[in-house]
Amino acid sequence: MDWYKLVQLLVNGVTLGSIYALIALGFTMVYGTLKLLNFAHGDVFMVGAFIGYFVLQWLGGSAAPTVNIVFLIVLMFVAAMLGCGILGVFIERFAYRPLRNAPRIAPLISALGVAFLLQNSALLIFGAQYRSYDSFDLAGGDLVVRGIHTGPLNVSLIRLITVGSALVLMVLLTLLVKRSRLGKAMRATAYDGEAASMMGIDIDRVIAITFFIGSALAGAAGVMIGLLFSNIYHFMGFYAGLKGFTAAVVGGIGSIPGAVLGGLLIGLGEALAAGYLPQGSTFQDFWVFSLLIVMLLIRPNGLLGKPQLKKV
Amino acid sequence: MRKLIVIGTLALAAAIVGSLSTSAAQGGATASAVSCKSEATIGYFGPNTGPAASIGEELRNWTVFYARQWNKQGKRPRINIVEGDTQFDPKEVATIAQQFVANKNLLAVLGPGASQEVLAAKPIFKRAGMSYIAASATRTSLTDGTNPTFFRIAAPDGIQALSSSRYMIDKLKAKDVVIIDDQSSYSVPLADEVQRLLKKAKVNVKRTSITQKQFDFSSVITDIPNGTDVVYLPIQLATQMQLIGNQLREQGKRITLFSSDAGYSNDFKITGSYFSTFGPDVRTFRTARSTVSAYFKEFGKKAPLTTFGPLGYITGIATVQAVARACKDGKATRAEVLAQMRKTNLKTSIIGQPVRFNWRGDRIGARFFTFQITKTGPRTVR
Repeated sequence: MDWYKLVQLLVNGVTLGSIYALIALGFTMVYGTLKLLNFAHGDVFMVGAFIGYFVLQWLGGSAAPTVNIVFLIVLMFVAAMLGCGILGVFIERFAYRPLRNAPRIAPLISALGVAFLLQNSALLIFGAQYRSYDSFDLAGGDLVVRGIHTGPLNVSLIRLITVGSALVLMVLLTLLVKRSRLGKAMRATAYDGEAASMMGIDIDRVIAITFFIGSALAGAAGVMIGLLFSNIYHFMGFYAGLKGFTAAVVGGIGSIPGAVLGGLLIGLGEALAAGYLPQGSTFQDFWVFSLLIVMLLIRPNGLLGKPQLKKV
Repeated sequence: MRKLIVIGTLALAAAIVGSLSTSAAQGGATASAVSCKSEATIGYFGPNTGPAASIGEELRNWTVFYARQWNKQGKRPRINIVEGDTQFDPKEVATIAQQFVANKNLLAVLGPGASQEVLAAKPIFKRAGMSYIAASATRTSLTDGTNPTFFRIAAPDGIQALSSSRYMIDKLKAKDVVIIDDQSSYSVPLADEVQRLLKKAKVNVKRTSITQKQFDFSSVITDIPNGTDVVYLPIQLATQMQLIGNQLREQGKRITLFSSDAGYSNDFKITGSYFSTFGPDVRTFRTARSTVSAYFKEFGKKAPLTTFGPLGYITGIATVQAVARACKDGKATRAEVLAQMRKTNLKTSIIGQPVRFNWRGDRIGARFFTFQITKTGPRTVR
């Protein structure tokens, strides 16, 4: 048994899984409150990656940033989260809210429309070329070279930052949903929007905030992808969105811990498939989506999803 | 009801016949001569945007450059270039190729850039008898005799595979090599051939692959054994080469990278790495100096210049001169331009080599060059 390889693959999988988990959280939050599959979510993630990129360029680029590196990274996250949060609220207000009482297929089509709109707008505005964060040049390469390098464990600083910030965001979200008044309102809206409204909860506001938070998490994931893997482009949201959606379904769509678990499983699945299965890297998507099918066959509601009860 | 079915069937048959005759007419545009006494139209398409945009910009600049010089000198016919952006996407290539064919004034095409783009354009141009010439498409089978209107300046991958594998064996003394292809129609045959040649020389070869849409290679890299001497990357995106190099460094693996022709790019800058490419560094040629300075004057001091552009410049020369020869009597057909392309005979060129094509469309005497990336930029090593 090559322990070095196993440990390294687990590190790779957890890092990738944390990003998928953040994307999955957005899917799951929106589905939880509105029962809507927000297919534009992956493209909001792409917009987040671009916002982070432009903040980085604006502040001098990776090789010669004009501000402190910590401040730079924080600013990239804040800008991307705010930008994507506002974009999410905007999408909800103009593409989904008018269709809230329409048949369920209508907002689904609207979501696909918004996804294509965002992709093509990005193509028009940013061009089709790949942009690079050149994050391996940040801090003279310290973010890559430094970190934990003990025996088989080889975790760069950039991976620690990614996993750490993803963890912090997930904990904050869980606390918000479980402990705050807003979280209670969100849970009430998710449980029964009409009843929540009769109890005095402004459900429009709650849904808008849900979109803001979910999209902000996607924005953070976009910056993480840029910092970790450098290359971003207008179509990147499609694949990442698909993986995030798969993670949400595997974990049990509507369940916050489920989204995290699903994200980690997909990330680990990809990494281990690439490392151990024949032609694993070539067919890693095959393995990931096979996992989805098997999971749905065994547990149609996902790992932590609850079966929907229907009054008969 | 039966009457309705009969009428419907007749209408459908009429529509099919109509559409067939339209497409025949489009293809038939090749047969009729167009006036080109004062102006002739040619097409250019390449990856101006998209993942290969860094190469696309340079290819585009250099390819249209000769036509601009021609027009500035007041030569006749004046060359009008219709442009298309393939975005490095075969679907776009097919659409633009159809548009070129449908334009009855268009006599020949410059481009496209990459092998999979040529494959997408092949049936369309073949049917229309349209001459087209690529600077940098290297897949060996593109000139297997089934692509009679195609020409290329770069040497085919059979030569690249031989040159690269010899360098890895003779100079880098490689005993263990990992080959990573990107599953494209350019990458796989090249990887196959290098793998075959390395194995023949008793080198241990491990093969894996990625996709052009993949953004994380860390697990692929984890799977690369520590004692590996060379990682060979016959892939098309320099951004992916750079990420692979960085992720190797991240995992503490100091392995030499050797890439194929897309490695000559500002996006790939891992010091100590090698790449093979189909042209020399023209900046070192005294004979190319005036053309190079004219290029920077035309497109700006920061305009890209690697080995791609000068080959594009040659495609421009070959095509414009072929069109001019075909248009001597004031009119020309695509077939006449194609015949003139076959007669191309440049005694020398910007890359210091003559340009003539064999019956398959390959440039006679084309070869590959090997570069190493140093702190000051790429340096020719063979």
